[in-house]
Amino acid sequence: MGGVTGAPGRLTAFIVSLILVIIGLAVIVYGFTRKEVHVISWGLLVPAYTFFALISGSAIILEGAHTVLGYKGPRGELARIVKIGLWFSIATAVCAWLLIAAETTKPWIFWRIFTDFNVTSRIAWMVLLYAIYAVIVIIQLIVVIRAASGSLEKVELALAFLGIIVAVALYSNLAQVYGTIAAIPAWYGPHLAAYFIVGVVLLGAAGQTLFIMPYAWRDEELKGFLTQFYGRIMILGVLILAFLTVWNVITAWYNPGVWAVYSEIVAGAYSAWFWIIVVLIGIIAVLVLALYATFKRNAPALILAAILTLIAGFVNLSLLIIVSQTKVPEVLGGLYRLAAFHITSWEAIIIVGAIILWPSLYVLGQTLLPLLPGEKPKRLFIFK
Amino acid sequence: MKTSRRDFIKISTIAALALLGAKSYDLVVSRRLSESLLLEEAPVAGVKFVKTFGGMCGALCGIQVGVDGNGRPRVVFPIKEHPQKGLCGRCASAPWLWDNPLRLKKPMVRVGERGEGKFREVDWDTALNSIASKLKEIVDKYGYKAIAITHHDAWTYYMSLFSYLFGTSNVISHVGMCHAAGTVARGHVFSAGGPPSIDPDYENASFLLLVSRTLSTASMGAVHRAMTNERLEIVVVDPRMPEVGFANVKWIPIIPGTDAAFALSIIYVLLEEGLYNADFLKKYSNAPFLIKPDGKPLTEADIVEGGDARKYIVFDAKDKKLKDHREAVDPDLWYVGEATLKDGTKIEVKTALTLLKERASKYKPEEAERITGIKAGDIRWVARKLALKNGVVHDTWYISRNGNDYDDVRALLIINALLGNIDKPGGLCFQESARFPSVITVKTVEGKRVAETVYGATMPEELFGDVTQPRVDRAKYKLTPAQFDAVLDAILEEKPYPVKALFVIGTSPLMRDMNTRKVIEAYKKLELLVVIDILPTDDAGYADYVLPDTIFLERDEMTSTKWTLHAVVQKQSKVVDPPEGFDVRDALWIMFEIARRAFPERAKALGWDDKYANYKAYEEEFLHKLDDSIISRLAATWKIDKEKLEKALEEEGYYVLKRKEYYVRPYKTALGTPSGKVEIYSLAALGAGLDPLPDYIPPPAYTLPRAPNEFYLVNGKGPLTSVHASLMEPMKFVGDRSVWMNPRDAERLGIRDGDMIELESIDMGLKAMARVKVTEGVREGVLFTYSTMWGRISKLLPEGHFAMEGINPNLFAKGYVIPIVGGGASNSSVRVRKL
Amino acid sequence: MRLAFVWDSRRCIGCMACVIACASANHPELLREAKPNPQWNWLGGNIRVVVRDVGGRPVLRLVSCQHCDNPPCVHACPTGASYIDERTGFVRLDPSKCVGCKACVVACPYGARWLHPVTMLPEKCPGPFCSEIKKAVCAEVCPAGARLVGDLDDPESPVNEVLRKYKTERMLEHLGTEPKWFIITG
Repeated sequence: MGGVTGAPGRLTAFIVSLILVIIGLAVIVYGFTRKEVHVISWGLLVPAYTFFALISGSAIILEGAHTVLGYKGPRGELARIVKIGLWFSIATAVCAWLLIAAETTKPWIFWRIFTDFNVTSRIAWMVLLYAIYAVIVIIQLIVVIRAASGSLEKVELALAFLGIIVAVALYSNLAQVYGTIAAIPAWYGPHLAAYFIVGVVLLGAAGQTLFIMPYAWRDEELKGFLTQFYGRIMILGVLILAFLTVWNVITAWYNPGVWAVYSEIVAGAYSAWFWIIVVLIGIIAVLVLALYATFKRNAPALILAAILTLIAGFVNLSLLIIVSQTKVPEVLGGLYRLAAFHITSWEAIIIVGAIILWPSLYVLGQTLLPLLPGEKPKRLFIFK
Repeated sequence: MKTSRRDFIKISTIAALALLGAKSYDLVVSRRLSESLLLEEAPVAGVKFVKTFGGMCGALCGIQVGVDGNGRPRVVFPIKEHPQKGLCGRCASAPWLWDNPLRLKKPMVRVGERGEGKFREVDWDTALNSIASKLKEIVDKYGYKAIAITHHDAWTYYMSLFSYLFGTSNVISHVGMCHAAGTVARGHVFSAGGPPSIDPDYENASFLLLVSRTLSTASMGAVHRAMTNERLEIVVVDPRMPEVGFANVKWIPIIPGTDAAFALSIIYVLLEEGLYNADFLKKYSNAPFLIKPDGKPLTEADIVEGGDARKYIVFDAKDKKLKDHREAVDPDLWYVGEATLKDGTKIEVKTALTLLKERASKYKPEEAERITGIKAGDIRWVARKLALKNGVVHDTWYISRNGNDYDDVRALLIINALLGNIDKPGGLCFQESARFPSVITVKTVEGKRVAETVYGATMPEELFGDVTQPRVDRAKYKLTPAQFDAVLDAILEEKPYPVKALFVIGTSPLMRDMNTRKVIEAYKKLELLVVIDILPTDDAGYADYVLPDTIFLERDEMTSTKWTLHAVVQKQSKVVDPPEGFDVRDALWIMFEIARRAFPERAKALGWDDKYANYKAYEEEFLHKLDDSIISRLAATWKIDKEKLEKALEEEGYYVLKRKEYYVRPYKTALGTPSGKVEIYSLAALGAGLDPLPDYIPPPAYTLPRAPNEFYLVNGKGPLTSVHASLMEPMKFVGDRSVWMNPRDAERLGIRDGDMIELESIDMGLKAMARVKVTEGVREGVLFTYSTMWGRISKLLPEGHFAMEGINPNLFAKGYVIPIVGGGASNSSVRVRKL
Repeated sequence: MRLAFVWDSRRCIGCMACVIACASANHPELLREAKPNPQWNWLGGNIRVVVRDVGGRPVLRLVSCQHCDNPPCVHACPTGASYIDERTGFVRLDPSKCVGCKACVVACPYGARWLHPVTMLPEKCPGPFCSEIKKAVCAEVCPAGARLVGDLDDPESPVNEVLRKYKTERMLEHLGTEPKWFIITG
């Protein structure tokens, strides 16, 4: 690790990751060409997109802790991972965008959203906010990389504040993409915003654990620090998530339209997913593992907790987004319009493509940019 | 698209759409930006409308068909001013029919076993020649009467022609499984005929009682008149809620097979509470006729030596004397007393109305409630509403249900008689006859009988063959309008004589007739089975020859308009030619061509020239002559200008010959009943050996369900019911292939909506599976499914075709036929098991 | 102009003529598709059928675009591909702007939109044929005289006449969608 100069290892990594990026993109495009209409309007790609979108918000962990609160870690450990962390957000966001683009039928006219911007549309705002957020994170990354050769603290601070504000707006807005839809009671309302912001922190911490920890694997101090840092975030996140989950189920009970869906999740066809994956694995197992990892400074346990968090997070989002669409109130009260959900092959292919793309794009960036702890900008002109 | 005769008029300049009628509005100005993938979409502006009538069922409503620029039928609209305008789901499905991949395209000859569904396509000559030679063989051995023809609504007009063409009287329609019992009843009470011969005057009625009549089944003209009549209050009495129940209609569920008890109970209330029209009954019905203890009417012949047996005696309240009903000033409706016969003996006589009341007294509302499951209060409510709102009771249509249906209809008709609301605005009215010329009539010329066709061909008596022989069904059920079950008996038992060859034209006995197993057995025993149809029916799978017919969009035809009180003639105009690669022919041509090859002298006598073997010559010359003769006849009959009539038929699609004239029958014109009056006490029934008064008997057609898992299985028709339309793609989604079950029954048996159940016939031991629809739309203890649509068995259908789902209720029907009357029964009883 | 639909529940006998005619007229390209409308498992047409037992008997509702004055689909559409056509008051789709995000399909509380299996465009009433002929096929074919289309802005229009005369209701009115689709109930 930490091959700073153009070592053969870095070139190999570049070539391999580039090939994998191309494969991932090709798989996504292939899946897109096989697209068919399915019964549920927003199929599996939408929770997949939301999942990546939430993880891409993980930059706020670093912006918040490192820049705004000024917490750099006892030995400046946090500062060392800011660059790679920001890049992780960007790479993840690219996956998210590709997934949502693949979910639409005519992604090539996405620009229409800017030229024919509809102010009442959450999706339109989503695109705008995401663009702003991406620009901020990219500038932050550039600034942080350049800061390695000189102090730009005030600019960093301003950007971090801005980043956090935009991120909160972004994820609240993402929640309201669903929350404004009165046709689907299980989504309708402001409650998802809290859910999503906690999701950003929890899934973001898990994502960063999984993707950044390997670079710290040989650096015991850094590894130990990160284990405790992310471990604590995950403990806190999972406790809030547990609270919100219980809260959601309880409030659902009071609204027949919502309960129609939640009863399926809690006691119906989807209850195994909910109780085993979301509750048992995603909350209880993750909590235990994260506690263990934090207090024992056990990095493998935290890696496991991170993997479980991501799996459970994806399932949780899928339940929330998919199941809510399978049973919606009909025009005659007391009756529900039912739709069967099946995973289609084209969706599965696109998700596989995204899963290939995600780490390879992340690694590709790392081979091109000076992102790793301690790495100085020297390869690319703009950072000189 | 090749052009044909008169195309230039038919696919005509008729109306740019914007001119098509009222309620036009500016829907959308912008033309939709067509997506590149919508390649097949034709420029809509090229749509041309052709006025015709709908042949998707027998109702023949006035429609116009829009054909798009690709020559494809695109949309069906009603003809706005047509007296029977409208369309339902069936005609709306017509755009799916024309080039449907399921359509029969070429003649086929069977190569496998009967029912195996293995066929070889052959050319027309081969098929027709082999049918003709087989037919000749059969006739040589068994006579012409061994040929039978069965049909439904398609080609009905020509059936009497076919009878002479093949020298057989055995042309036997579907009616035995439809309105036979009702038609006999209509004849007995009003001397009326098939369903539209009397019909409620929907547009003027204020209260309409529909018992076992859906209204939503066919004749959208009637639906339009009823539904747009804001004053009209409708009550439906049926074990299941027919679709008309979705409208503002009161639905009263009844236990199946108890309609007569309900109707008699109404009669009781009307008589008991004095809610009958005494004036009408005295003047125009046989209610005051005095009836002897033996049930026969007291006539002049009974009391005066040499008296007239057709002079029915009443008690004149004016001078307290017995006299001929035509001479009485004030016939007593309730007279009970003594009459002295010509030999001096005294007998007790009662008026027919008294006897009716005695009969109806068996069904006082509380007693009827026990039988029918309808609350006594509801029965009284309906009776009082009928009387106070001057209501009308529908004369029924599809009624072959429980084996006691003849009495149901009679009792319902008698209610109308008691209300006296006959041939009046808003009442039960006689249809004005269009005096549409018969295709063939028998005349006596110089002492010899000849059959003369409408287009002038004549067949001498020597060629009649077995036309004058009694039909197999009438030999068994003397009053029946038609009962195909007797044909099955003649095939299976060869009694009263063997039937060996059967033509099935545009119908499906396997779906239509009760006891499907018996139909199959009979099919297997036939020497020749020819199916002429447009789609692969179950019957086609058993045929020796399957001959592809044209669809209604592909031919011209004329008919009187069925479901209107006015006398109207209407024209079906060829909308499109058969699609490329569909070598289909009119059944009329097919039958003539078979006859020409088998019995050339018969075909020739009936005006079939050898040159008509050429289909184009048939279309251009024969059909032209036929149409022209019909129009000429009509013009002569109604004393109207022929060209005017022809023009109206071309341009409007119909011509009103005479508007309904009320207060004619029985007021000015005597009825054809023995007494010339409305017969609440049927002398014709009496003469035929039937009870002159209606009564309720428990359904004889099946064992009544008793155990908690036993149900009545009732069936019915809806706006989608059709052997043919049900194979069209829309029905995959819109067609209901389920068996309905009441929620309380479902709960008791632990069955949920969408579950599969097994139905086992209590009488027949057969089993079938179906999906359950749990709905309040059916009474407790009763299961409902649509008839003649589902549970197909044809091997000619693609595997897993949706019409194979569901059940054919006739599979379970025992095959009960009402004695004498000859009505069939399609309901049954089943045991249910959850799968 | 604000065109509105009126459906007379007192007259409708559920004959399906409108449902089937809508499909054949507006989407002939789907006539032979195995799954013409996979989302509804239905015909390739714009009218759905909903039946539910209410008060001891089945009740029918025909559902198509309600042409809301406050349409959730239009609010949800990121590009304005779904819009209210000022000339007619109808909610329409401009396919050239549609990115296919399906937000309109999801947002419609009436379930009035469906994705075309070939173009994947969110179809709805009025279909292309009705648009072209400037008539609603459903109203044209109705045998029971249960359907009417007319201008709410024109006090003389038959729709306003009907609304003055009869008791009407609108579906899911509580959602504030302000549908221009009236049901005569009494």
